[in-house]
Amino acid sequence: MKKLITAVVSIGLMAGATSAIADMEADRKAFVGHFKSIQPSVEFADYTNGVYAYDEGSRGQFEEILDGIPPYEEAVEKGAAEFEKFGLAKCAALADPAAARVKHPYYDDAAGTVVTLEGTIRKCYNEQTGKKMGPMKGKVARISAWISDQAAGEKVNVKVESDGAKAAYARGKATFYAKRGQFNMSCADCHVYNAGKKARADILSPALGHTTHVPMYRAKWGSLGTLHRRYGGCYKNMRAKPLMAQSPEYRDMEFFHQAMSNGLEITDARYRK
Amino acid sequence: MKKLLLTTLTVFAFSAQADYLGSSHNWNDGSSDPFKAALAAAESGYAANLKAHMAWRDTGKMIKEAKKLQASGNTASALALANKAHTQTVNAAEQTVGASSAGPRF
Repeated sequence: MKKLITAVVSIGLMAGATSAIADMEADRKAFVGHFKSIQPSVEFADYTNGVYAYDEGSRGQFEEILDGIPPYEEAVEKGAAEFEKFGLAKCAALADPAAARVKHPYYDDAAGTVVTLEGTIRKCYNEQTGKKMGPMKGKVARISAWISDQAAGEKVNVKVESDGAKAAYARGKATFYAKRGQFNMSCADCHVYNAGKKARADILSPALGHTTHVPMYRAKWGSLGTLHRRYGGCYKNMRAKPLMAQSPEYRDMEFFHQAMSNGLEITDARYRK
Repeated sequence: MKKLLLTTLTVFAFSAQADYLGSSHNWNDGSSDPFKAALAAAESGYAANLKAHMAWRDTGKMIKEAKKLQASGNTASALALANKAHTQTVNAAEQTVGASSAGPRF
């Protein structure tokens, strides 16, 4: 009888875990399918280049910038020096930078929260120096960019397995698709349904592949910035009040957002207009 | 018994009226302050929007600006702005309703 109960419970748990993965995988397939339907000629792998997968003119400029000395190169080198200087390799979570980039974001069942790469960097910096690190730009973006560079060519592989992870993923998904702000628009309104179309002079970038090149260098910023810095900018553009970078809501959204890019290569080409 | 009933009903009627008029009612001269009422509505709505992480970008600024206008004696503009801020909070609250279950259209 005991064996029977154990077997039934195990099957139940396995089915639960499988359905969590299936939900995310089904979402991802539908997501990728949508982009295939609006831009049939763009290969899946090219989405790692974001908006430059869509527009030849912009792609030319992008490649010219990469052929020279990209404007973020110095900042990334500084990030490498800072990683060393602050002793971040002493933290187990960052000891192997490439593995750290691929692992994050993940759901920490013990802490009951999504852990982002920037969150881990800030925590480690605090442990090593006793100081606090900002969440959007400067040191955190430079160090995160250098860590991400170490994983260039590896594939995004977010795992949504436990019930807690599934719930965080669902919350992140809802945040991504919820309409907000005075313009009553969601992230998806621009970057899913209208990706590739123009908003004034700019082409709306596809959400698929957004997270492969973060932290990004934006010409508008003139510096590197984290994904959460960009979330804040988008919220402001929609006339919604931005949330705090690294807030639980943004971390959940990053969890969903990265998961949608599973299978795409992480790139060190982090220039964006 | 009749007196007791009458007194109870009178007390009840006054207290209900007091609740209805709220803090913007001036009991000394019997007038209501529409600005105070609009500001209170905007502030409570904004607090709820913030709690739901669905606040609009400019609502807080509008509330601050309305207070400044009122302090400078520009009551009409202050009232208009407080009402506008309140309307924003109502619209944001409407967005909040479907936000937690939002999903793709495909």
